[in-house]
Amino acid sequence: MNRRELLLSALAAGYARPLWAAQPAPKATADAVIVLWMGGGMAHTETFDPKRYTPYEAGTPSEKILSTFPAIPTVVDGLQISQGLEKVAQVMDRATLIRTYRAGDLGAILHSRHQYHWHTGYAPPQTVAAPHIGSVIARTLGPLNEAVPAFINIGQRFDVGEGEELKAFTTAGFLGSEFGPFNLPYPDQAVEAVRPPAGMTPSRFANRQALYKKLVGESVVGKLGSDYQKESLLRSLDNAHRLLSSSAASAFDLTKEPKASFDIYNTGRFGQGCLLARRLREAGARYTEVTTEYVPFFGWDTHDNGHTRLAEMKRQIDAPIAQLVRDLEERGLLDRTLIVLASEFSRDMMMEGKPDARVRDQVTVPDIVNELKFYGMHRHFTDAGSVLMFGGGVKKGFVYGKTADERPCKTIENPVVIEDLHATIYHTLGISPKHAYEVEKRPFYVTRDGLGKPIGTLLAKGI
Amino acid sequence: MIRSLVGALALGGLSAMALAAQKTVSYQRDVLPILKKNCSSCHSNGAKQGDFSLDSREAILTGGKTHPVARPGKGAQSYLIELVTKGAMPPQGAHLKASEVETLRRWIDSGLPFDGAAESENAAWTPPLALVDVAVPEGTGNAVDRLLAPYFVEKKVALSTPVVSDRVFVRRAYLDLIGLLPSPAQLNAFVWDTRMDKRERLVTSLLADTKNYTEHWLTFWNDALRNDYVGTGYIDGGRSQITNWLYTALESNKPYDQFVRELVAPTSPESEGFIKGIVWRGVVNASQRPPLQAAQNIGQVFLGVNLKCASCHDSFTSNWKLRDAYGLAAIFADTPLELVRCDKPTGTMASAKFLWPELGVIEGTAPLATRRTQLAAALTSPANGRFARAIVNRLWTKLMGRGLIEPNDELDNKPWNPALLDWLAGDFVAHGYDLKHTLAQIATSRAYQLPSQGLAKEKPTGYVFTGPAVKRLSAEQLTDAISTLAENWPTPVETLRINKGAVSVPRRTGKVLFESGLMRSGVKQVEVALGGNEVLALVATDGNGNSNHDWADWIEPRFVFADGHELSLRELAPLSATAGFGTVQTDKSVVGKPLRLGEKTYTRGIGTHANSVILYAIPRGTTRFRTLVGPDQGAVDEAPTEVSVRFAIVEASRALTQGRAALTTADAFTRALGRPNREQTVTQRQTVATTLQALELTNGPLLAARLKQGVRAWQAHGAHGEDILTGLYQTALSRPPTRTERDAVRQTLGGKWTPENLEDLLWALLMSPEFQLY
Repeated sequence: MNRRELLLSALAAGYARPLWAAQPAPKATADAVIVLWMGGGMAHTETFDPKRYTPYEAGTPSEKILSTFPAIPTVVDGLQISQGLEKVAQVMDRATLIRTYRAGDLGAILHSRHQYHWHTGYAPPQTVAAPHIGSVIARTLGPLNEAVPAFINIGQRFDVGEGEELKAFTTAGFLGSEFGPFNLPYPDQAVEAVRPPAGMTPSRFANRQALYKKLVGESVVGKLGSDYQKESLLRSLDNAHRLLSSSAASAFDLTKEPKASFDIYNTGRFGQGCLLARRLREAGARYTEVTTEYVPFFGWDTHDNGHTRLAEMKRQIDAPIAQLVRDLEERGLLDRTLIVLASEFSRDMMMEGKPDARVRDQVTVPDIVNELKFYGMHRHFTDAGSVLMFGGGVKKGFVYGKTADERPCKTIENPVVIEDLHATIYHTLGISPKHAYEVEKRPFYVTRDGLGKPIGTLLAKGI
Repeated sequence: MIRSLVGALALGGLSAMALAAQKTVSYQRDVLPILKKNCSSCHSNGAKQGDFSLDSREAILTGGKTHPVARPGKGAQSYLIELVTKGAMPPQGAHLKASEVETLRRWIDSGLPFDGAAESENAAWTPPLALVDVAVPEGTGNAVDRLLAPYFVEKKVALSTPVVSDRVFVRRAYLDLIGLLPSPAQLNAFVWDTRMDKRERLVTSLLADTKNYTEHWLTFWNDALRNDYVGTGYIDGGRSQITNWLYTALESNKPYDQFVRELVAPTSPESEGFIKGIVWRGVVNASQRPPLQAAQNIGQVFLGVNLKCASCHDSFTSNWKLRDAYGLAAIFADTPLELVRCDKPTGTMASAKFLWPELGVIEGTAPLATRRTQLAAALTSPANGRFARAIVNRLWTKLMGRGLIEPNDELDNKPWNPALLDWLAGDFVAHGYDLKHTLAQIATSRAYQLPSQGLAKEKPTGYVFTGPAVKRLSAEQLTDAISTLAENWPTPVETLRINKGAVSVPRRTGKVLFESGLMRSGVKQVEVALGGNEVLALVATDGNGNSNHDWADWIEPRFVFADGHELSLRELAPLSATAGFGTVQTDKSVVGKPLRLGEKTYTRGIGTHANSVILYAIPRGTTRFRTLVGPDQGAVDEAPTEVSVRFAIVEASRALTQGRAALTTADAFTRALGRPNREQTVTQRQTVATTLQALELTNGPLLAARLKQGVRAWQAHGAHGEDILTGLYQTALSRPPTRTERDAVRQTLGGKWTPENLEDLLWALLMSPEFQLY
């Protein structure tokens, strides 16, 4: 039995049922998705939407500071992004850049809550356990290659602050754990997850399986006839054994990458994650997410020292992202792979929330910047943020949406909300935004209440 | 023929071919697709909008609230045709096409034949609110079996099926009632017991094993009441644990009506977590505000009523309205609660009421606590048959693998044996809502002792009870079974804690016998009486928030027997020992110098550094413990202002360090095996095996470590490989290996009993269907 058959039988075994009455599926322009997750809140004015640059100088009023990095040109005429992203600037001619992602109005800011919203399309809490977008895709499309799990989640550890909150959405929810994430927190150790247990030789692994088969065959219960529980148990173990002995396992092994290539990607765990994502995409991954990792007060979660820390974050992401795009293009995979770089919300020096929905400040910002640690975007801004997309049928060298050039640097045209962003992603994969699964006798739509609308303007071929 | 000709003439425009195809209307081919597309979401599969169901012929003929809906042979005059022709139905979306109306009309004309299609099982079933008095058929034996006898006759189930063997029964009863595998000794004692009523005795004794009963059922209730030790909501204080309350309630077998009253109308903060719900920071959807969470969870868990749909709009799949859900929610609201329909405020304020107002009045103007008490009374009123039905159905499901009503949370669905359900519920009420009584009633039935039945699907239609359905070990049962096999249990959530120098232990586990207070120098002599527990903890903590130079000495520590005879701790190996700096030393201070307290130097004792916890097993027969304590003078000489140590002596049961899975936090292993996040209520877990689970089981580091532990434990007993093989089979599968199994193992492992081979054998047993399914 192959994995597709397994999935079909899993459906028979009682997984949430799709409601086929939904809209007809659009024609897919992508087979796979790679989400590059900038966990912690990536400031748009410091990355993909630079505004007036104010160099650091003690005594500068905070209110004056919009960007702490100068803008740099890109290969696209008239398109500028922020200093520190020089390599990405060179591939912007393959990109669609959304500058006006408006994060949900969820009241007071809690990173994990906004990440839940971004990843499920629903604001927590929900009456049923909402599935992650990766699980929806895994459930709807299945794996691209049977030997590669359909939803792979790279770089996030769960034994960190707010780990419990992260687990709340890093799940298949009511769709059932078959469609849950295959978590690989450490890219350089990913191969451990698809190899026989540590310290076990292939021959011992094979022998253990042989012993198992033999004992099951001898057991009275093993001989008894059909039962969904027994069948699913035997089948799932066979599957696991096959995955762990499969040649696709080498895709998980970063030591197999030529050194020159590895070095380009190796800016840290995120860079290695991008390399792993590329290797897995070549092997047939369906949905892969690579995160810079959300840990409270680390990474993009800059409550202080924003300028200094963003210089480091950009160093970590710049080369690997550009290389990922180039490598996929060179291998002829970019056209059928949608890359989406996103963050739960943006940041601003002064404003917490949105101009029309301000929320309680969490960070103290002095009126005058007298120390370098106050120089940066430290508050959580939800009115505009950047989303960068490559491949998979989106336009090339295209910018969508406009933000104000003075504070608040808010969305002034073409706002994009999560439902529509998801609908666009689903559309490229050939999934209708009204596609739904039945849970507790009611439909649960892949975009909130089926309301998502794909943004045709972003797509090379429109809708 | 004439009629169809007339119909055809009336249609005029149809082609000859279409006419030929439509000579007879087929329910499956022609009618069902129309109903599915246009009507089913409100009137099928148990949904009965306007009290009208399309699930069976009978239901269609009975009709809804106002009219009979169809009259056989009179299509044109039928209300159904009138509604769809006018476009009154369906109320939203496109109207039926003329051809579709015509198909329906002709189907009614021909007498609404269902062509043998299965009518929905939940057709035309409206359970009465109160329990129905059920007369148990004459005879002897368990009432469950007497009630099942006519059912078996009707369903042509052979009653001659023998009950399961003792070995199977023991394993089943242990796993179901206390969640543990029977030990080979327990198993054999039962097998050799010749008393006729030994099975009843076993059930009684298992239910009387309070600790293990509690720590098994804790998992079920944690899932249902979404109680967990860590998780969402705790980050902002937006959630409260009810663990202590729940543990005690199960331990004392609190009557279920009282149990629920304390959850719904808490009189102490210990049980308020359930109705408090989970409060996330920020703005939440109107239907997820805490009072609505309380309404949904009370409906789902205690009544099998789904109010989730009706929390946002009038339900499409049941008769519950927005105002019903809000009426229940309003009971829990501090301030007036405005009805919000699909996130749009309606301007109407909710008035507090119970779903069945006839069960009791809730005074909307009364204080919050009074309203909750009034609700608790109405909910648990003996007139509320659903309350008892819901729980006995859950207990039946836990023991029998499949409920009398499925899913358990949809109590409007039809039970496969309504009389049995209502008898069990009535019996439960008559016995003072005693959960253990009903468990015993079911577990001592012959029905429970029938061979377990493998189901073809998780939720089969047309289910007929022929014995318990095969169950899969839960994450917790599996973990506990592995702990039993490995003779090593994980550390529970509630254990010894040090907070700002103060030591605490959970009260059901142990107590602090001695606390020195802050010591910066000097010595204290300590003697404490021991109370019969198993573990002694010597704890030294930092007293001033800086752990510099906190050398801590335990001088001449010894246990004292009743006869005055002493046993030095130096002669015993500690169970574990930790030090905040360096390693724990014997007869030396932590830095390797002589032990010194005050002016004196000692030759015997333990030198450590705060924070330090050293555990010893308390030898049997000892009644007291003596020691001297103090910060080592070496540290005082070096840095007199830095030294600050507090000493504590704790006596506890083994539960301090070794606990059952129910008392641990979720890890990758238990999560993969289905332990839920506990953000939503879960009353029935998914039991189908998945590939991600299998990966965790095949190469997960957590299991690999336990396998090693297990084999080390078996080898430590000095047992020979062959005996270990037998022991593993006896413990894991409750039976010895057969000759062919023994041969197969020898052959595959090449007759070598290396630790690796034994680990692989243990793994193969743990993965076998015979182990995981029962």
